[in-house]
Amino acid sequence: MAEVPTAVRVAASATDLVKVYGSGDTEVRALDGVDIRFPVGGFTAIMGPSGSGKSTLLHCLAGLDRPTSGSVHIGDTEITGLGDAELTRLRRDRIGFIFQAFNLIPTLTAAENIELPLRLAGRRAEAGWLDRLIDTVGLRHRLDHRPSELSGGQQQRTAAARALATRPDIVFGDEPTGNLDSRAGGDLLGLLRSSAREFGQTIVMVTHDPGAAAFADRVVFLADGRIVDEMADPTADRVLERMKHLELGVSAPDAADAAAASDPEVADGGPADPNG
Amino acid sequence: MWLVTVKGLLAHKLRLAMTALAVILGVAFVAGSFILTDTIERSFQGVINDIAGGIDLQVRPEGTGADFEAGFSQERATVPATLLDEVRDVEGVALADAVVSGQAQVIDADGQPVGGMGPPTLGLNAPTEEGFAGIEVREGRLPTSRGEVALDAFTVRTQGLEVGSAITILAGGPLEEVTLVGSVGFGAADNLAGATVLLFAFDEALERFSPTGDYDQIEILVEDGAELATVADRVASVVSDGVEVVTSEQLVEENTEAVAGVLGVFSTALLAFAGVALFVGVFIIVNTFSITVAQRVREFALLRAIGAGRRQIMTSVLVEAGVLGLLGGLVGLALGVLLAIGLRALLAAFGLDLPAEGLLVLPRTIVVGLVVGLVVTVAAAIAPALRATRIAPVQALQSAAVPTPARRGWGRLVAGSLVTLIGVVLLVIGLVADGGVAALGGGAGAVFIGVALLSPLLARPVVSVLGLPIARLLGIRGELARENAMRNPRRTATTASALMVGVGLVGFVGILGASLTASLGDAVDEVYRLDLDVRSTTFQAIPAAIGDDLAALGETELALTQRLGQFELDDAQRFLFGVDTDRVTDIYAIEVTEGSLDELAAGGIALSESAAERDGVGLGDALQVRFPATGEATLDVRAIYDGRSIDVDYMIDTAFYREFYVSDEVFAIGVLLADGVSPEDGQGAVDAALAAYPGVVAMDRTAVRENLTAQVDQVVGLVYGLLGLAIVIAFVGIVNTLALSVFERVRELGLLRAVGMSRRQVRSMIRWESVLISVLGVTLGLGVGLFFGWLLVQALQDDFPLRLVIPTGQLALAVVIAVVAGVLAGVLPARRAARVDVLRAVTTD
Ligand SMILES: Nc1ncnc2c1ncn2[C@@H]1O[C@H](COP(=O)(O)OP(=O)(O)O)[C@@H](O)[C@H]1O
Ligand SMILES: [Mg+2]
Repeated sequence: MAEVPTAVRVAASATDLVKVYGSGDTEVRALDGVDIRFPVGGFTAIMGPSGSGKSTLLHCLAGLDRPTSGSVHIGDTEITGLGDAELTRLRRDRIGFIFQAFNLIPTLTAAENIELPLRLAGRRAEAGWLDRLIDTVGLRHRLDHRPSELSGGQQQRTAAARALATRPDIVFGDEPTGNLDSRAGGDLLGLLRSSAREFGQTIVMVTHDPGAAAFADRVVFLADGRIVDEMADPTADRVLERMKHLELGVSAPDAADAAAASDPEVADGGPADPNG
Repeated sequence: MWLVTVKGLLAHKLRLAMTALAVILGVAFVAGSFILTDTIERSFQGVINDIAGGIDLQVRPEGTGADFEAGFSQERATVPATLLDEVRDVEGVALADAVVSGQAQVIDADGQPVGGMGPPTLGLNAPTEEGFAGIEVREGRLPTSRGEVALDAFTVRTQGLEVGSAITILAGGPLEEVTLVGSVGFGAADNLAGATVLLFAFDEALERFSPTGDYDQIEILVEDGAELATVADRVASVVSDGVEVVTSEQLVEENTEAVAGVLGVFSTALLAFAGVALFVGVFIIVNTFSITVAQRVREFALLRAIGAGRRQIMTSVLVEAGVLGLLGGLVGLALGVLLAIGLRALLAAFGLDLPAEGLLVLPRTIVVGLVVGLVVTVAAAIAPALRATRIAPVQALQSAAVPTPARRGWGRLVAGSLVTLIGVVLLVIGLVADGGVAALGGGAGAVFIGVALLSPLLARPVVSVLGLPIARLLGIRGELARENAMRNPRRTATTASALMVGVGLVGFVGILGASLTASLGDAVDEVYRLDLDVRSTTFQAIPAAIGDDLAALGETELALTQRLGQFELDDAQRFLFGVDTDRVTDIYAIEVTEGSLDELAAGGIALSESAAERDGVGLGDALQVRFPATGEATLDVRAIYDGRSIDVDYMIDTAFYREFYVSDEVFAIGVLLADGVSPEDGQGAVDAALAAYPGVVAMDRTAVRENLTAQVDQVVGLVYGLLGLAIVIAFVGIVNTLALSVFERVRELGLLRAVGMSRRQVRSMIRWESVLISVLGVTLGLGVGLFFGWLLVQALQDDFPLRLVIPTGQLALAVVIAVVAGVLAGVLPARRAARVDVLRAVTTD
């Protein structure tokens, strides 16, 4: 496991993170001692078979869910002990989200959705930043539209703009391209990558699509709630290869799930190797 | 299909409970009204039976059946005293007793008359034998000599009096001390259906209550074994003209009918309020079912996809409604019993004490309660159920996320306008063309339904405007509250419409009350020239001697006694005003349009314009009338006046009055103070003179006006109270709608929380949505209420001119209350919304 050099500033980290659902017979260890750091400006993809704990990890990192044990830091802030109000403020000011679906408030326009976290905080965006963001995501002509009048790709790009609007310490995405066709997905991933490179935005994204993972700087592999591997400068082929090995080790029903996840249609339809 | 229905019902207990609440409150009101009036009727019936059961026959003046009109005058037709001995001699008569009665009050420890403004206070002669006419001694004995009285056991008990002690009474003269020798009951009851009853020895009663020495009635027991009909015939053969014989059965029948008539008005009024409550409930039930159908689109579509027919879907929804209606009906019945107990306590507080027997729940009450619950709920669910049948199977596969925008309804506009118009036409027919209560109720209902139909079209613009300040002040949560209130106009509008009905009626009553108060006040200012108005606080006659006392004071210039008398004209009973016609215009501004009041003296009568028109007589005509004690007389019409201001249709001179009426009791005295006497000194002197007469007060013009205002306010307050229930139901509707909306928006709320909306902000957002809905309801309601008020005032313009007054203070208060109540209605849904788990937005189901 490659250690991140200590000189690099850390945007978020988890130490010995454990999340247990249920108890007794129905106990599920969704996270089983996860240690991970996300350097500032890095674009990390988290991969793993279905049920491996990717979403749980993301939720714990983002303060949406509380771990059973272990600790999570956003920047210097230890968030595991925080109350609801402090967590809410943290999410509002220092974290951005892009979910797989239902990212936008249907009654608000695209522009209003983008400004939502700022408005909730009663803040104004830095001059020029929103404009630049809107141009970057290419929504200039759709600002006054409501979500129901936007395509899936436009909706997700609006969500990305919203996530970036507050210049958060870190942006989390849980399969943000999961509901998009390959072109729209590629647009969004390109957008995320350029925001990492150009604005130094830290991004953590869960995906089960090797093609999507290839947009990241590094891929972390999860299986049965543990980190089993890491890959720097991934390509779709190498990730796919790695995933196949991982999936051999899991039980029958989950294997079927995972097979569906890495369904050829999705894999083939993915964007071309971004490094190529 | 049944399984789906049942499971669906069980899965949504809260929704069920909230919807049922609307049914429950409505049914409770209906059941409570029935139970209360049935119970009252039974206790009256008990008294009627007990009293009539104590006699076999009654001899009375013709046509004096059970008339409950109190009137200020004791003057009524009588049975000649000579008849008693003749009746006693009739073969088969075991016992015959005369009855003489009048007004008599017991004075309580504070020096005030017992009974106050409540039921009548009667004085009667004691029967010669106990048990006669149902009168039974509970303690002590019946009075036998002057200065002794017996009192109904209820008053003895509630006033804490002791048999054998002295009590103070007021019976046609100044205060007197008498000895209480017994307490009596009437059959099983401790008082006479709420009335206070003082019994005097026969001679004393005759002296006090019968100026002519004649009797009100003669009551007869027949001998054992004698044939009732035969004895009745024999008695009938000895009585004079104008006197009739009736059996106790007839008496029971007459009295029952009279009681039923009075109670019928009472129960109709209560049921009208129950109807309003149910009407409001219907909006809520419609709304709840509409929302839940919308939320279950996928479920219904899936059912359709796997082979359920339209009819099965329809049945499923209607059965759910039916179960709900029956359950609501049952709980409502139970609550109705509690409500009846509460209302009875309320009546008791107003002085109508009823025997504390158990409540009477007739099978009719149960059936009506259940049927009302069932029918109202199922009827309200029909439209939503039809909508459910139109769901296509394919919708099971589509995402339900996109809310269907309300159809831009020309149809709605046309239908709503049409229904509103029909309502207005019905109202106009009801008001102007005397279309009666049905036209008025139907018209008001139609206007409400019409506006409710139109309200989804109004909701967006109105909320958009009303919400602007909120959005400005509160930023994003205000903006979201505004957007949320506008996103589903039909839902918002229906919820608000329920409130509109209650507020509309409150607004209407408020306007009516304010207009009435103002107009009565105007009338007092215009008409009253007197300085002090002296009368009884209990609507009783006052001793004529007071007039002399007041006239004798140095501080007064004039103390004008006013008398009322009943007489018969064209077979109708009318009241006349007996007053010194030379001076009446000194105390009241009366506009004489024809003739002159100066020439009224002997043989003359003055008529109001409206009475002259009704009776078809004019100046100089002769009027054939009949006085109760002195019989037929012919009067000359010598003046016609504008009677709208003083509300008296016939007027004769005092001197002339004395010729026709034997009792000399006064209902009011108008006092003018002497020149140079200050109002304070005048009032002080008059008050001092009145000290000997409890229950008689002197009011200056301001006090008269305030007194009138207070009376109107009391009625308005009562109506507000009864309409309050409809408003409570409407707010339950807001809670319900919001709770369902929160449920529907779980993901959205989760998302808001995820991107940083605090719990407090979530709560505030929902509360302000609630406020917007209630303010919309209040706005619509006040609009309709103002219109109703205006319409009524216009319609009354000819008969009863009112000055339209809009009680802006009260209406502003209503808006404030609506905001506060809106906040309160939002509390629960807001709490639920704030508790939504953030992860609900993230995890895809
Ligand atoms: N709320 C929950 N209650 C119980 N078990 C859960 C819950 N959420 C997730 N799990 C379980 O935890 C494990 C990890 O889930 P998740 O993090 O969603 O996996 P992934 O996102 O990698 O597919 C799975 O076995 C899942 O069944
Ligand atoms: Mg997942």
